[in-house]
Amino acid sequence: MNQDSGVLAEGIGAGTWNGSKVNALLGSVLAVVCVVSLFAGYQPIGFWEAMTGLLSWPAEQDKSVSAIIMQEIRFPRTFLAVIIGASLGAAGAALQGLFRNPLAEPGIMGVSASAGFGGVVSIYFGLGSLFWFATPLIAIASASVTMTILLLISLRDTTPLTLILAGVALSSLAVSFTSLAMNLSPNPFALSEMIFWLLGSVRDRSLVDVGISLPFMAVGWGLLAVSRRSLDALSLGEDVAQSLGVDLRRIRQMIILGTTLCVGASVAVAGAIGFVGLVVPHVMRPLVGHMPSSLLLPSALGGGLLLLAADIVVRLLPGNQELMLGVLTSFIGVPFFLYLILKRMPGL
Amino acid sequence: MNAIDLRNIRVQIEDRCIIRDLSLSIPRKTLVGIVGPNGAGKSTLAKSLLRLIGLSGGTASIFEKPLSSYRRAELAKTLSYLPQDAPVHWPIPAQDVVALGRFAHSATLGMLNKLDPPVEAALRATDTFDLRKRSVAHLSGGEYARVMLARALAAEAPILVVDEPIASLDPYHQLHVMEILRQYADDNNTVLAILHDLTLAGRFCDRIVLMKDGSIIGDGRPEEILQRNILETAYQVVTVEGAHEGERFVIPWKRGTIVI
Repeated sequence: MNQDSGVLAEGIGAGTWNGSKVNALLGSVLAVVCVVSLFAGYQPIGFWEAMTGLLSWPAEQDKSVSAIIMQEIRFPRTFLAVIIGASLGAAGAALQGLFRNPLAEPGIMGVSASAGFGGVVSIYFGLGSLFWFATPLIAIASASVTMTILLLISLRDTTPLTLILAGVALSSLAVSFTSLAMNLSPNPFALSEMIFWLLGSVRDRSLVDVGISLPFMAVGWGLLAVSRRSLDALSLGEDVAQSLGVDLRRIRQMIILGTTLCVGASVAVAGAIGFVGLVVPHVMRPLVGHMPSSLLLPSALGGGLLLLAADIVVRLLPGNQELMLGVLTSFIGVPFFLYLILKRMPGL
Repeated sequence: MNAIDLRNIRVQIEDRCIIRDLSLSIPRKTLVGIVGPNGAGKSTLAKSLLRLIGLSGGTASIFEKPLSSYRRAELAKTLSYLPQDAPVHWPIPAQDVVALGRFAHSATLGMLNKLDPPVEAALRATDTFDLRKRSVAHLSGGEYARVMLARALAAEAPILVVDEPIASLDPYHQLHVMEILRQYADDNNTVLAILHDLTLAGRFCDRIVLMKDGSIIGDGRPEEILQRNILETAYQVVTVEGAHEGERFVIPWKRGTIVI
């Protein structure tokens, strides 16, 4: 290799290393924040007590209070915040790659609201008690209907505005149906449960919820991971991507299925938590570059980190009533969304 | 063996016939200029070769193998395509764009190897090596067009289909791109270039295919096709012919037809 090639190698190597470095840094920070999360709560627990409580599995009746708190409250809550944040972050990055639109995000595009409506339907008709995966399944099915409609719209008009407006309309429709279900709610308990879907939280979740959501998310992550190269090719437009060998129909199906599995499973256990998929890929892009394939893993790690950090904040905020996680992410996400829209406006 | 063989192909979109009973055979080591007025069906012909638009009738073969029987990756390795409008939707570095030209050559789950020698060769051939780290969002129109061409060249496909590759270039880079296409054809490849510049088409192409209303109305050596009366029929323009350094050239001069 000649000298110039050496320069080329160095430049590209540096870029790849940056990506790995960012992933390693995010992974390390996430690990630290996970530990912090295990200690953050109303009940102070010492380090060794917490570790013993977390790692020892005595008979149910012999469990200490700290073991119960660690194993049944804080660990599931921490774990869920990480996997839900990772799912939403990766889903946002994948959607932005598929639609080639930096404003694409499950919450803004109505996918989360549709999944929430699916969850409400499941509660309304008591389907969740029929079989363990009924609620995530209905949430995923509902989300995939919205995704398919959005995709059909995007095939006719690829402008960001059309897609966002369509997403807003579909989101409003899903919220209207959800409101109708709440309006006709059979009892106050069901109503309270439905409100949960609109606000979003990982509070009072258990390992059962991890078990319900993780398999769907894992399949979703897998689908997004194997689609990442095709997302890169899609950066050059659909005609060129096809000429490069991308099976357009297949890649659309995989991304739609992957994102709906991720979002549907997240919403099924934690309600609609918006804007993670918008904020995180935007923060990551300057660090790892704009190639969609480079963005998936950092967005997943960053999403887990953001949601876990936000969950720690809601736990530690003073007050009698704990702030819902979805409310906090909206407070972060909406100004960010407005900033992105203003940034795209000429003359600003 | 012909690189491309089209027999009576027809392309219909909704109820409009874009290409009608078109037959064309192109051997290797040939630079073919596809010329013709707007709406003649030139880009549709290119897209149907890429299977981006399906044929409504007729048969198409690439290296004597039916086009329809090519697997997707196999076709991508055989035919490289540079469309008329080639947007890059993210501000990614030029070298990443060019590396995407190797998409069909990389393993299914593996990532693209940006150090692939064809990527570097394509960057150098198009004089874009020094631009490799710059975002495509910050390139001038000419630089951008050359990076796009580098992406198409990086595939090292034996057939290159380029749709108006010199439309946004200054004269220096127009000549440069035509020289690159000429060299690519001379390296035992086939190049189909959709062109509007009749002067450059006449100077650089081995063969000119003149299209109008979805049909071929002229096919032959440049001096046979770029004739005043033929161009007048095709374009409704009056042309001026001349010669310089032993080469014949033709320039569109004014709209309309000559009244004799």
